[in-house]
Amino acid sequence: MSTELTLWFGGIALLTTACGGAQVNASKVELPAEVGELPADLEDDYRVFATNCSKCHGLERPLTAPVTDHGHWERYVARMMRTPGSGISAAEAPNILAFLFWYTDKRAGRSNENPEPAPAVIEQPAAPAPQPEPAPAVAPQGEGT
Amino acid sequence: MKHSSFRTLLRDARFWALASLALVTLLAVVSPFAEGQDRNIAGSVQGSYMYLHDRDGQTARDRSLDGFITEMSLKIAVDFSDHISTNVKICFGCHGFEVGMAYVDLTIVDEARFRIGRFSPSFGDFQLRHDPANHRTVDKPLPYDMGRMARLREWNMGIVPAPYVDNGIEFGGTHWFGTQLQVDYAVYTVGGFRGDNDGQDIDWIQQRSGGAYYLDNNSRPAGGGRLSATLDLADADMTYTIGASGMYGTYDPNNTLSYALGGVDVYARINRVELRAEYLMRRTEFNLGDDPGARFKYGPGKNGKYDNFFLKDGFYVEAVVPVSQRIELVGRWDGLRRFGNVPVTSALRKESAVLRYTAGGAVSLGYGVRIKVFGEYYDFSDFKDEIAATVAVVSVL
Repeated sequence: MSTELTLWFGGIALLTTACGGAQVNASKVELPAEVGELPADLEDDYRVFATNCSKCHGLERPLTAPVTDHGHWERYVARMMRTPGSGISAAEAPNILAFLFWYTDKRAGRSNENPEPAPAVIEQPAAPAPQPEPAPAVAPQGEGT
Repeated sequence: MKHSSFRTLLRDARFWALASLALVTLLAVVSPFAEGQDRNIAGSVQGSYMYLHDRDGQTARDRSLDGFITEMSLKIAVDFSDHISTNVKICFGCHGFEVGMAYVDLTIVDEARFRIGRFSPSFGDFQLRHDPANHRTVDKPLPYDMGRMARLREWNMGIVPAPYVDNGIEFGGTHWFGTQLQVDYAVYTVGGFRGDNDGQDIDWIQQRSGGAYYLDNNSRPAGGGRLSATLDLADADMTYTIGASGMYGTYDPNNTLSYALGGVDVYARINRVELRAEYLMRRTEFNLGDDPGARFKYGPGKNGKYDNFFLKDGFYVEAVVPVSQRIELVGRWDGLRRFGNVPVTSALRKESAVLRYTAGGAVSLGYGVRIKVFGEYYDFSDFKDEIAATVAVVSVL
């Protein structure tokens, strides 16, 4: 292998890392237009959502998922916590749910003035509480599709 | 039963497969009754065009599967309860339609889950992200290549083409120690790789062919497992994962030609910059036949005997750097090596290697649609170097 190519590739890697490292923190959250801007008090929740969920798939997976009720998200996130290597701890799940609850309500045109709080702690066991309403469909992510 | 017979039984992979199914059946009897059905649908589509230039009187098709390729997947998941679910996934790619998943999950607790049916056994880090909508590049790393690499026929693709789908049963689980350390584990017994009795390598077409009705060709299950640990340092905005995987089985109908795989993987996320690296190795026995001198390119070793196996190993290192909410840059370095005798017709040598350098990125168009643009440079030890360019549009459903 030519030394020049190694240097070329290494240079690109360093450049992209430098650009990325410099800009990631400052990157603006871009959500679908109908959702509007992310409230300042949810920025940390969004960051936890983005960093954890992008490990196995793009953020478009959850952001385009046809989930419309909070109970469905709780089951969904509980399932993702069991995905090998997900790194979603019980302490982080409430942050992820807080963002998803807000996002889902905004997409559905529901008021966020009195948002339902995300659970303070998400239990690790396999069984989230049964939900009274049937949940609309979305498949668990992270295993291909 | 005599002790010797019992020991023989314990060494028989079929015994463990049967015992596992019996255990699952017992657990199913005592598990809660199904409470209903939640039907869920998801999928992805990637349409791509790969350009490789014609050369030396050869079209690019002689050296690769260039041109337009569409990959599609559609999955239906049904949750009967919080403990029982079923998943069916259909995939379409270069090989036509295939069943990528058809299994039942029985989750007793987080630490004990059984998966029965047709699934991707837990091996390596990439299997979980094999879907083109989930991994960031336009193709798979060389150790997991399933047909997009240049010179795919000469190399017989990667070490374990992803997704590796097989029939069997897997036991696995996850456990958190506090809020920072997640440990995952899985062991499985599956049908295993396939090939011919006079095989000189795994036959990946047999492996995925519906023509064989997904049957085990030698009635001897293969086995394997994976162990990984994830350290989630949320306060420092960092996550690290290390993992190790292994697999062993035989691939010929006569059950005499073995293969063994091993792999280690590392993942690091610092802020939103992701780094991944994996190393895989496969030792594969081949049939020397009655006249190895006529069958293989190279003669016997110093001991006067022909080796009856080859080693193939490979690696990839990948960096994903988001430069904005919509744009990601990706750099990857990967490679394959092969050590061992080769058939007389092979273009490879006793020691062959390929290194590949990949750079590119993806732009999100919103609503689950991304455009990927990548360039790749191949450095072959046995062929002229190649440059490939690929543009893809990928969408989640």
